[in-house]
Amino acid sequence: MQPIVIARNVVKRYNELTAVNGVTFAVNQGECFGLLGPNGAGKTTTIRMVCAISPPTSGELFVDGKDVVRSGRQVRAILGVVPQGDDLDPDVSVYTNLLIHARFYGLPEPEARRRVEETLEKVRLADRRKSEVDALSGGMKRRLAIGRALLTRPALLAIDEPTLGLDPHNRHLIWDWFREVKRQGTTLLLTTNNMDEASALCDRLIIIDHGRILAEGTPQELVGTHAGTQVLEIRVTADRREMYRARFAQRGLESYEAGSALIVPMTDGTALSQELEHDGVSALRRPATLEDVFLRLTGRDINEDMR
Amino acid sequence: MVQLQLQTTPSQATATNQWAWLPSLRLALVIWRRNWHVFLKNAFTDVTGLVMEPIITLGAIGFGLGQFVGQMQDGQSYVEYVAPGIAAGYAMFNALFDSAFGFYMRMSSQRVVAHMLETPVEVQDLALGEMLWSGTRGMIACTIILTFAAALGLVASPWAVLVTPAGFLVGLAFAGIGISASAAARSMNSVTLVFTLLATPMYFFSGVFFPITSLPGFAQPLVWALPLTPGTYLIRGLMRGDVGWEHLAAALWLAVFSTVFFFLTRWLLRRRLIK
Repeated sequence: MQPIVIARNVVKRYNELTAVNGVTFAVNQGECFGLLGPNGAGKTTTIRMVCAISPPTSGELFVDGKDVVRSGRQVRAILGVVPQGDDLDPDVSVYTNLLIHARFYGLPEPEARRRVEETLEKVRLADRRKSEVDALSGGMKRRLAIGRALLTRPALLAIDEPTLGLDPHNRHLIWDWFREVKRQGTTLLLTTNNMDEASALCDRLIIIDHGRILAEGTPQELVGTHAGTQVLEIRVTADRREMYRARFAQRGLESYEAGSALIVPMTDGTALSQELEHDGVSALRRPATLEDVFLRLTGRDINEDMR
Repeated sequence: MVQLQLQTTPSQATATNQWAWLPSLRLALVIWRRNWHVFLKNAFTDVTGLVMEPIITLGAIGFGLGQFVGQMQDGQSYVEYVAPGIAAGYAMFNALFDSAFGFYMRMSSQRVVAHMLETPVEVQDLALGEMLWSGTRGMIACTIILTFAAALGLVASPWAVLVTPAGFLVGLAFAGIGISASAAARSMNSVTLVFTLLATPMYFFSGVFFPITSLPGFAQPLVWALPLTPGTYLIRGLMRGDVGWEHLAAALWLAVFSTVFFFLTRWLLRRRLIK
């Protein structure tokens, strides 16, 4: 089966700024594909191009075999899009928000109304159908926006930061919906900088920074390749950090800074952590996670930005 | 001009690409319906606002000032003369108000437009839907004033039933101006320029309150080019029953003006929204 999204050397420039600088990737039918990266990395721009909302400056981008620029309308007809923030209609009720959305996709009126009812139950807003959108909580708005995108049963659901700022209840509820629609064959494309979310949902990920892809793979592959099995997390004062980095480097160990911590990826950190404890330095030994991959691949630049 | 796009299969999609600039009437009407729904929800406030101002104007200017004016050249009383002008003027104000302020809000802070463009809606559907809606607002305003004028015995002819579609045409022309202004505006403040620079001067110099033959010669072709003059001329003719080919020409001019502005609107919206 051909991939549902094919991006070849896609570039997006806004005047001086190059937001996306030549990305190539493919999203397979039925998988959950994640775009991971720091703020301003180009994730949102990439997802907007895939959704035929923003035309690429150059490169090739196909969704379901259709060119996003030439067949934008046809591409969007099979998508469900949930942008960052909230673009619900504040002038109409919860119910009407869903109904108008259904009409944009040409659903016949009785079918549209049936699906609106179904969606209201699903997103647990059946008792708020007459509410104005502004009267809803952040979690309710997000549930409504996701329910709205799923109402048309899209082949590809594209969500920008699905659970940003939500409480754990809403987050888990939304993750469950994603797993459910994926079982039903929907492809998911999401951006996130929440590592739990990426690990919990994504089959494959790309890590993006400065508009370029830094790494690609399953969460396990990425952790294995870029963060090893274990990491030591060391907290020392800023003036001693460089000294320790030099010491680790002498032993062939790479280390990187994450906030005030110094992180050392390794296969077995037992000996080193004992040595550090001897120095009176507290070292936390823990399994490597996706967060370590993220920090390692994108961290240095963030530190430079902050200087 | 309008192509109905229903369900398109991929093979049709490639075939229709050369017509991709055409708006979908179906989607434009979904947008129209959304605005109609919001209008009905706020109908009391909206309609009160819609009705009060023109009625006050008609009373104060038509009956009040009219007593000092006496008769117009062709034997009409001043209030009979001014009533169709006010109908046209408020078709303009209503269409402009919605297409400038209302649409600007939907496009900027409310993000209603942003959501539409994530669905199969294209910029041209948006332009058409919003223009049809603002045209409808113009039509509603015009019809309410017509009804009121008829109740006061100021309508002389059954031709007046055509004031409703004429109001739609006036509304459509100004919708094009309003949406273009919104699309080009950098802030809500710059949208207000449409009123201070365009609508208010037009209201006073387009033959609403006095015949444009009183204007200096060089100004007359200029005011005919702007849509309120043909609009007022058309509606006045219809209310009086004094209708000729010139009135058809006025209607056609409004239609041409609206079509040109549809394309300008589409271009400006594209420039602003597709980034």
